[in-house]
Amino acid sequence: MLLLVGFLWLEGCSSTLSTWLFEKGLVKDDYRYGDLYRMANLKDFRVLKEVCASSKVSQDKNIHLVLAGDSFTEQGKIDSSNFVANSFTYIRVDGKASIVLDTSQYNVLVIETVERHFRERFVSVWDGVSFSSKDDVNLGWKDYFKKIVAFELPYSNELHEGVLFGYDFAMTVRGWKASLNYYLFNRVDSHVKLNKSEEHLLYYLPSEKGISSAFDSISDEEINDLVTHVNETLFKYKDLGFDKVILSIIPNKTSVLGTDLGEYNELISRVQGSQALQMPILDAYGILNSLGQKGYEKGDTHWTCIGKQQWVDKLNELLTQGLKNDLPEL
Amino acid sequence: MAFKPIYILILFVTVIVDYYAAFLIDREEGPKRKMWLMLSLVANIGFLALFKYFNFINQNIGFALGLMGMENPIPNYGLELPIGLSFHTFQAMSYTIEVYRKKQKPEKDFAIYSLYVMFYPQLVAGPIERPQNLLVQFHTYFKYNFENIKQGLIRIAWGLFKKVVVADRLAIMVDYCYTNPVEQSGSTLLLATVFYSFQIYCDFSGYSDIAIGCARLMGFNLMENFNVPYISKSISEFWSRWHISLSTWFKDYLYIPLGGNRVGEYRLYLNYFIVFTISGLWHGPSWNFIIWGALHGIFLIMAMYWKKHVGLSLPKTKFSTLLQVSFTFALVTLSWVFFRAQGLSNAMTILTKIFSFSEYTVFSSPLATTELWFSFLVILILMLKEIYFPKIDTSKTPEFYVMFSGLVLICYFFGVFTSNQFIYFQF
Repeated sequence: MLLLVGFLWLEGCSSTLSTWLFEKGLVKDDYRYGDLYRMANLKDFRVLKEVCASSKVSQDKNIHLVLAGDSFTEQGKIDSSNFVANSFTYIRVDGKASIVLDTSQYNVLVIETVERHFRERFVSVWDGVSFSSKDDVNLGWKDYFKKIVAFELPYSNELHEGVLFGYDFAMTVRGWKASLNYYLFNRVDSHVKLNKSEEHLLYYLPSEKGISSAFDSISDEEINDLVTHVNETLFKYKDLGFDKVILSIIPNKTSVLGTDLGEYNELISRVQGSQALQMPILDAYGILNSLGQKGYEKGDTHWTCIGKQQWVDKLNELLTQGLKNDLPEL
Repeated sequence: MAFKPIYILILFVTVIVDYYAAFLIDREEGPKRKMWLMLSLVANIGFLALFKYFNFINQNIGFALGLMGMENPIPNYGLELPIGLSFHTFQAMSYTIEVYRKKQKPEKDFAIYSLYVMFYPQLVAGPIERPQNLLVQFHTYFKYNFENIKQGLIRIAWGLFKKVVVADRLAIMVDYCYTNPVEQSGSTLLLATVFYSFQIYCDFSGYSDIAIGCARLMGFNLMENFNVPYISKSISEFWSRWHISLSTWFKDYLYIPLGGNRVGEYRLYLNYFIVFTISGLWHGPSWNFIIWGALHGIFLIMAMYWKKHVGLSLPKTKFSTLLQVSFTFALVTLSWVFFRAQGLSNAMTILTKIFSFSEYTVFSSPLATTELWFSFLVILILMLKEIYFPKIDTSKTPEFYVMFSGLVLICYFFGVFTSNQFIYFQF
């Protein structure tokens, strides 16, 4: 019993262990109906997420693509096989990573961020990438001591819930509870929001007040500041050796499907339409807005296969064009 | 919430210091005996002061120096408060003080003493146990007893009901109002404040129920921590019913050493004021908690002064009892404003709005009307159960199964699972 409880506790502290259990088929992926359904458990949104067909693109271009992305482009959703680049590095846009640039390649940095985090990420120049050699990492005993003191096991409820209650039967019971609360108290999980017509399940943050809001008005001054920081990011990474830096702001599901909840502040259009903007843009808003509900999963905050594929195709097009235009001799 | 292994060292150091200090106290007489006790207390209070109050004191020093145009030279080390520190430190201090008072022999078995400090059901939020009650139980061999299992399980289920059905539901309204009180009307804030009274009661006593139930499952009896505090007819009665393990701790180890009630009238008032203010400070390093504690001290002093010098009392009727209970509840509820509000200015905003009866016709709530009524209903059920059925009878096993499974189902289907941790975990 103690061993079982100990194992469960470790599983709650380790996403690696959870992933291993999932890969071995020992537990079910509790995100299979989408991250929003996982929280809301409303039966109308219980639709299995699409499994996207693997794309076949020739990777003969001498391109190193560094994709700084969030959950839209993380491992499992997108990988090197999607791109024409023959070298691919994925880093988290909300973290800091060191990479090594090979100047014989055409180096492209793509900064992909979901709209709700764009304002906080560009409140100053984005600096998620640095360059360092292995020699820089030379730890003394004091550093090791500090590491031991700071060491912590990050416990996550989510990982436990996945193992214990991620099965269809448990999800059905969760669905009963969700329906009861919805019909009796008109309340859904605090992290989700239904649009007015109750057709779309949305993440709560863009509907809340604050920096992530899709409805709070944004001043022209702030838009200008954001554009300035985007441009400074472009100059910074070009100076550091990237041949091309591209920005892609993925619209919130709320900004496309939940606009009946308020007056959309048009953050993406205003940034992308700014005369002062110098950073090349991959227009995800254009893609997903024209796709409408086809662009987003029913019970998930993220895009469908078609939404993702159109974005990937567009990026491949930009990479190929860039290679031709920027380095004609190659 | 993350687990930081390094913080276990704090627990081990206090365990080792107090374990050996108890033997040294027991061996010595006179000033040396007192010296070893002081060493143990300094070690315990030192850890508490460092991890709980250092940042607060340093901030206030910085503020005072700032007023004089000077910079605070002491850096802020960003220390985090280890969970349960205030509780297990007080429990450990209780042990060495009782050994010093010769009411408890030092525990020879290191493992059993460690268990006394680290007994998991009550490690993080009490009840703060006494060695006389707990240590002796750890030495007793318990046979399997199904009655203990039933009592433990039903107590846990009732604690869960209080936490997830009542406290976390009321928390939706309270959080909504207290996050930004400026935007709320007086009536909304008043209801949120009343809800907070029940939220904190259900949250904390729910935890105590779960702790007592867990211990009971294993055959141990922990002390009761609550006794329907909101039916108190006075503030002094309230404190004999609320967080009993802490109030008796302060009575035994602070109030009595200060002279108890064997001192003059005004010294007695001062003693009460000191005890309640320190009790407020125990809750957290913030002026809000200090004011909350001091307010209770002032209420108590005023009641004592009234009784001694005015002497006017109500006739003993049901109506006057109702009046006294309502008045006490109102005082306790209003003082909770300081406990819950984020900062003094928010607390003052809330009280001002409540008392100026501003915009009482405007009412907003994140809860739908049906859920508001449901909240009143569960509060009513809670109070009726606590008053008329303080102990659930589990002697008939089939009835126990029905009650237990019914409670679990109610907790699941009507519980609010918003990952709200227990309020007293922060202390």
